[in-house]
Amino acid sequence: MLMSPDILSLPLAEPVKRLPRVIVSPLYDFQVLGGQNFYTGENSSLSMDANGFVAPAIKFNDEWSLLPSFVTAYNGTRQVVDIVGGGTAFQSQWDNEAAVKAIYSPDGSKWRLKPYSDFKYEFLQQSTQEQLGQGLYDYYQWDAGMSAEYVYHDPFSIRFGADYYAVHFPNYTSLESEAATQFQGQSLARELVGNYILDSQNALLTVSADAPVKGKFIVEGQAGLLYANYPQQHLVNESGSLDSPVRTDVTSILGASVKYPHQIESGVREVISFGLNYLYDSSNQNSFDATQSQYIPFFYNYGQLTVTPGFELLVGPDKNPVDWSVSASWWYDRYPHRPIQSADGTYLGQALYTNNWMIQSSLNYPMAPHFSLVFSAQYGRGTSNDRFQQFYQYAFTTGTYMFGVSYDY
Amino acid sequence: MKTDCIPVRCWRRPATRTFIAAGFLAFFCSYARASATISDYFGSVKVLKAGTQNWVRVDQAPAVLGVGDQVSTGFLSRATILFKDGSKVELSGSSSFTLDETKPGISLMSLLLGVLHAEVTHNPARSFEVRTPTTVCAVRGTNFKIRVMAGGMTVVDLYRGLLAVTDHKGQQILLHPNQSTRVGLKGLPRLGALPGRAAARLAAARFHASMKREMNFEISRGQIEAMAERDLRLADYQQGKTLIDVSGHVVRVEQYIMQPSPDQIKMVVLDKRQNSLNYFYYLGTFNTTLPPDISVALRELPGTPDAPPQYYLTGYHSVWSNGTDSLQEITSGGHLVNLNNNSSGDTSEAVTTYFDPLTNSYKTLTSGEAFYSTLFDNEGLYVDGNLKSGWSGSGIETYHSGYGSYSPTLASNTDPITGAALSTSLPGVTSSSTFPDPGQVHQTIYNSYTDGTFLKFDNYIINNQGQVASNSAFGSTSGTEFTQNILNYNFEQVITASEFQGRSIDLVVSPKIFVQAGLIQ
Repeated sequence: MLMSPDILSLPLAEPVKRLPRVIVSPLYDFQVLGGQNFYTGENSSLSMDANGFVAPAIKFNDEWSLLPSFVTAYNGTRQVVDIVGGGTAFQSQWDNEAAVKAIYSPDGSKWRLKPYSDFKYEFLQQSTQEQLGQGLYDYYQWDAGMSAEYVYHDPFSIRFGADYYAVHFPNYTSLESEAATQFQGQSLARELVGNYILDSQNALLTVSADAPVKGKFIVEGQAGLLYANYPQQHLVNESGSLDSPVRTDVTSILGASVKYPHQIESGVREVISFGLNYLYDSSNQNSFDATQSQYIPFFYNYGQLTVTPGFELLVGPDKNPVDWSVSASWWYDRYPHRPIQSADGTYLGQALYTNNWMIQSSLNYPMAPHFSLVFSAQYGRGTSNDRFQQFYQYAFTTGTYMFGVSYDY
Repeated sequence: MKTDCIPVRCWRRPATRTFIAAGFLAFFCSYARASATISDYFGSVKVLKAGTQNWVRVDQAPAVLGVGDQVSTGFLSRATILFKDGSKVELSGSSSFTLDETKPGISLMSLLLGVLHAEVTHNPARSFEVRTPTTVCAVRGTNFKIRVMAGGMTVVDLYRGLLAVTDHKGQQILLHPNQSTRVGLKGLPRLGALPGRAAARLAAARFHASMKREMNFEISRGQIEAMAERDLRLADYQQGKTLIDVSGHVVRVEQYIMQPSPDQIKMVVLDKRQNSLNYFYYLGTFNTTLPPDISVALRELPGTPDAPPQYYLTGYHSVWSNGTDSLQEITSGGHLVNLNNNSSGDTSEAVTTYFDPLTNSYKTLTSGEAFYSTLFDNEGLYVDGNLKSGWSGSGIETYHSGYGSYSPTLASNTDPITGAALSTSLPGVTSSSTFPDPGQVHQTIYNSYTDGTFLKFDNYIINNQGQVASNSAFGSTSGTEFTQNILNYNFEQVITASEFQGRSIDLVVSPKIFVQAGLIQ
């Protein structure tokens, strides 16, 4: 049965148009929400969140694509996952990030190579007195890196990433350096005091993978190693003075999650998920508590265990379902070298830990293709064995509710 | 239009079908089992074997497919069907597929619903065909995708090779690489229609989905990086480096200890608000060289019971400043005195409780128990560098007047620290202490001078939200119980004076520094 001559002799069908070789496919995602935060009995006023991204992805050919993107997120409402301990004033946060990523998929290969670079600027207003761009913890960072993905069974893959980035806090200089010769020529600063002590140079290595298991589950895993160097932050010694070496942190991250997507009946699907993450930050920086004359070595070291079970129910057509999800998070932080304090500040022997949990639920109700009404609510609690609450309140309850619209394309 | 040798036509011919039917049993055992298998799957994949009524869930791969077997994939599921010649068909979720024929030289299958992606090995001698409710696609070595929607609409995308597409009216077209068409119940589109737009849309959709995936990777990486910056901020909060003052303003606080010389300690507090830097420092000079662990000396600052402390102050210099204005207290001539048995005979300064910095608590002395503390012979209080008040003496045993040489002499015409003669006599002073806000721990100390000037201290006890503590939380506003309670709060001191011309020095500080230095008693 020879087909070749017959097929080739067929007429070219005029109605058929050539698939475009260069494809420009813009991605959009916008969300505008209004809401309110409650913190240990106090209510905030109604405020707004808005976030989204635009990414005009370009496919030049089967091998090369480019993904430029701009992401912006304005949060006027404090979230449960934000830092919520007492004294943590919050007015608004505005993140902006511009990035470009090239994707090279060699013909016939399962590898994808992705060099990228991005620039991020985060504005954080702690109070109304801080103008935009003058926030103490505003920072920007330059980032450049390369990731490689091996798609062994599309869409499942193994991914490797290497990343370098530098962070600068333009408005955060140590007060000590600012006050170096404040009074009658007398020095108020220690020798070796740094200026931009939060600035850092960072290297991040990551590996992650996902895989189907027994035809029912999707398992994902990731590991990361973050090295941070603070060139202007000298080490604090036992007498409270500063030594020449500078602070370096190494953060190790391990995570795994499993998802179980399941069709209950026609048009009704569920996804059950469970995640487990562990993080350990190892820092060589120490602390000297001047008020208590207490030296605390390796003050910043901490481990964090996070557990996140979740459930998602999708009802309706694949492309535009009603999406209801509920999930919980529990995270346990332990600072092995940081002793707890009594209410009056006296140091005790036990290592400090914090226990936090949060439950959240969200409902996306489609109103039109890509367009949904959104309602979400979060409730969280925090506890700790530390009784010293002069600076930071470890025990709290907090909640947030938000509602609005989203557009996703 | 040539049609007689299009493979699908051959297969549809009754003679051909008869031939297949006649040879089915003969060839089945030897070819079918080995010719097609479900080589991989994910999720819910079911097979209805030919001649049976029950769908059986696939629970292991490879699973053999025979002629007439049907395959159904569930939501988010997928199945890969591998043919003996290496050709591969991948079924996406919610697809319905039938293997119509498979033997050397021919592979025929049907897709009723869903998405099928085929990677067909090149073999000129073999026919590979996919039927849908509205089309028949005949190929050789090629890579294509077919999507069948509800209602039978079929979309065909061709990536490599050649693909003949025939609709139910017998109309045929030939797709070349990177071409696409869609076929509905009305057959192939008429000339002038634009099915390519749909093809472009499909290609864009695939690309779109892959780019969304990339965006998710980006967001995931960004979360790790943002976490590190968040931790820096959290540590600042936990160490009290960012607080809220009584006016609701965010104030940065840094407190640290310096050792300018072997016998000195300088405790520094820096407070910064939006546009102002206020600071306090306490420079203490001790009687001897300090130990490496300076906390040993600091613990002895308030005095010691029973035996004289090893380390005591011979003088100190306290400074409050906003960068423009300043308040200074300077002392010298520090020496130890047993306050419970001093030589002056004054018992009004006897000590019954004392502050223990090690435990942050007040301890009670037994009756007659000695308590050694430092008294300073000379003291000067300066506002913006000008002496406001002071005293001088030599080996004083009490701060109270009336005990002869054991008492200090109030400064009048001479600076007690520098010894310089003053051009005008120092004014007299009267002091008052009030709590102007009912129910709140807000103390005002007002010093009124006879020259018409004033010096005022507003002391607030505030929590970490900048809220002033209530009296009910304290029980009393003086004594050791009061001071003990203060240690659970932050202390904010606002200093104003005539000389400051409306400016103020505003400091939020951990109260222990003031308690330890004897500035809060």
